[in-house]
Amino acid sequence: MVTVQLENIKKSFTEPVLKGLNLSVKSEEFMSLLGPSGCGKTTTLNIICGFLKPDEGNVYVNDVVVNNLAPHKRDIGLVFQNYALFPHMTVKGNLAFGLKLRKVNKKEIEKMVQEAMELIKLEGKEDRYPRELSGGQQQRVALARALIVKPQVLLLDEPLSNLDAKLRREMRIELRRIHKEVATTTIYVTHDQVEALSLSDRVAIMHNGEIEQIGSPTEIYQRPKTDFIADFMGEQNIISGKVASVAEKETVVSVGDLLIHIPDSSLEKGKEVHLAFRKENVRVNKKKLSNVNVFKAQVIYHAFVGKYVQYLLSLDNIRILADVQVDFATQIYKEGDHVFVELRSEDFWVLQ
Amino acid sequence: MKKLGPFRLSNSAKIIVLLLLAVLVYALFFLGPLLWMFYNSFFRWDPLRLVDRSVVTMENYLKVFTHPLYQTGVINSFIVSTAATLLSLVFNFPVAYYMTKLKSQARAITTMIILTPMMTLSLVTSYAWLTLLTPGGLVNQFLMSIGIISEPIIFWGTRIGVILVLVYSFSPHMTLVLNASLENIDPNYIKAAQILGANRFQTFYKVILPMSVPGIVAGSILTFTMCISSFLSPYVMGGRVVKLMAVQVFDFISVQLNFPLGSAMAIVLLSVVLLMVYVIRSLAEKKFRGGT
Ligand SMILES: Nc1ncnc2c1ncn2[C@@H]1O[C@H](COP(=O)(O)OP(=O)(O)OP(=O)(O)O)[C@@H](O)[C@H]1O
Ligand SMILES: [Mg+2]
Repeated sequence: MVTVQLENIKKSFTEPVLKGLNLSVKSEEFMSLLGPSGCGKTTTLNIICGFLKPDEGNVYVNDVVVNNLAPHKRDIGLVFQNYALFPHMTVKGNLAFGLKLRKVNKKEIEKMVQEAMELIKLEGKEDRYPRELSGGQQQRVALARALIVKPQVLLLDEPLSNLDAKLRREMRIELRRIHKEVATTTIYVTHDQVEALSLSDRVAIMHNGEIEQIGSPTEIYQRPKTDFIADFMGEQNIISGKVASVAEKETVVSVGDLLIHIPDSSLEKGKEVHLAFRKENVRVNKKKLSNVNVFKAQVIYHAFVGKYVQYLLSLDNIRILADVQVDFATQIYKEGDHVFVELRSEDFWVLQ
Repeated sequence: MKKLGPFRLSNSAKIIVLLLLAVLVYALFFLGPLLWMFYNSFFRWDPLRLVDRSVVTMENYLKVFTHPLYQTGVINSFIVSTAATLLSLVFNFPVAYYMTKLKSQARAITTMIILTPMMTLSLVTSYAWLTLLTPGGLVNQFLMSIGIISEPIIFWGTRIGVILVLVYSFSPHMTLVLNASLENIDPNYIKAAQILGANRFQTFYKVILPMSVPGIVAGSILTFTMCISSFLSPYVMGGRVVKLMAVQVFDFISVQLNFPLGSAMAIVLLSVVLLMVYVIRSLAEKKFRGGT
């Protein structure tokens, strides 16, 4: 079942920001909206909440068009980057705010506040004012305030970016736990790929006002579809070549003098393509151990960073990066050493 | 290390000396006259020497509180200033609120318009108001033509007239203070309230209003203080018919040269202001503990 659906959303300020965005979030799903700063993530959330009207397109919540519904009627939970806890109310006052508006009776409110405080593990701090809480505690209250009214969907706008690294890690685990417990459909906005990958059921990558790829964290990480995503998900090796031959299960791409065998068979002969492979999949050997996808290379630079060695290698005119796992028995090659680079054909994928 | 001669001071010592100087200047020019006034208020007026310091007496204060004329002055001043402050708050809060929604150019123009009472000579505007508010003036004609009133309202020499002219004179101060406080409210608070289910009215009443309490307190204290100590416009509008402390103080000191009685009345006026500051602040605190 789909809880939130965005259909061909367009929005311009001085320039177009959203250019036909489509997204559907399944019920109880944890979906991340990942993209660089300024790509329109907050704008998208504002449109879902009703603070902004889209120039074109429809917003559905539980299959109902909500385009003309005021924000206070949309039944959405929202958590801000700066928490926005009401400073003139205690923690309890903040939590009870939405319940009072829904005319829940006093006894029930008392009970629900207590439950919420247990959920966020802040029992006993009900009568504090927000400024008397730490950043992480304020963050949890903000989350509880949004969840206590049992919204159809929970939206979080970079909720962890004001916290330090250690707290951020803890809060990621907390968020996961709380999501498991309440099972509210969640859209989580972030520009931090680690957050998106570690929290989500699915990740949607935003670029140029559209969703460029949507998939599970492993899909997004291992098979980014485009140059942009490959680059955004961390340094990758991207090389360009031309399709030399196409067979049933194997295509050969020529990159300069090198011939690369890949399993893809959907390409046309003669087409220019971008091939990507992850640097941790590159193997570096002294000897030539196989005949396919093995290339002569020279070490240009190496750096030992603990768990692995980072190499910059030159294959003819191409430069590639390799992260090679090492232990005390592994040989570490030095600048100028001649080596063989080996990749499996499955390690390559074609970017669009 | 630098050697410190008798006239060489370290940096922190320099700062302390400068601060002491500032305090001294402040004390001299602000507290000095005040204390002098306080001191004089306990003596008797003398037609020849003006202040007769041979006897210490409370009779000036007694007179202020018992003489019907001065009693009325204290009460009128209090009523007129309180009413003007409340009216100014009610009129200017919406103005200040809608100003926050304006784009920069419209806001600049609005600010200029709001500031006009401050930019013109209050004597001139008071007389302008006087002509507008005569029984046959524009305001009465308008009110009668739309049928709100059948008889012209008398503004000159009445408390209503004085209140109106005070509201007009000190509106800019109120608006600017309120606007500054409303501008400071992070729009995310308003969004948070709305998405939690608050409609416009609830958002205003439960979030915007309580969060602007510091501005309301500051604006009210400022306006009340200026109203109660304002002398020229109330005098033009109220004449000597509406008895007001500020006008009476002026009469004692500048016309009758009765410094002791004038001083005593000025001290009473100051006490009313301080009392009001205290009342406003504790009211605000009680209602909205936590503040912003
Ligand atoms: N009210 C507005 N008026 C004009 N331009 C705006 C407005 N709001 C956003 N923009 C522009 O729209 C673009 C997208 O803004 P948005 O806040 O959605 O980005 P974001 O993805 O949330 O970025 P960040 O990660 O930095 O929060 C930006 O270029 C921004 O300058
Ligand atoms: Mg943003």
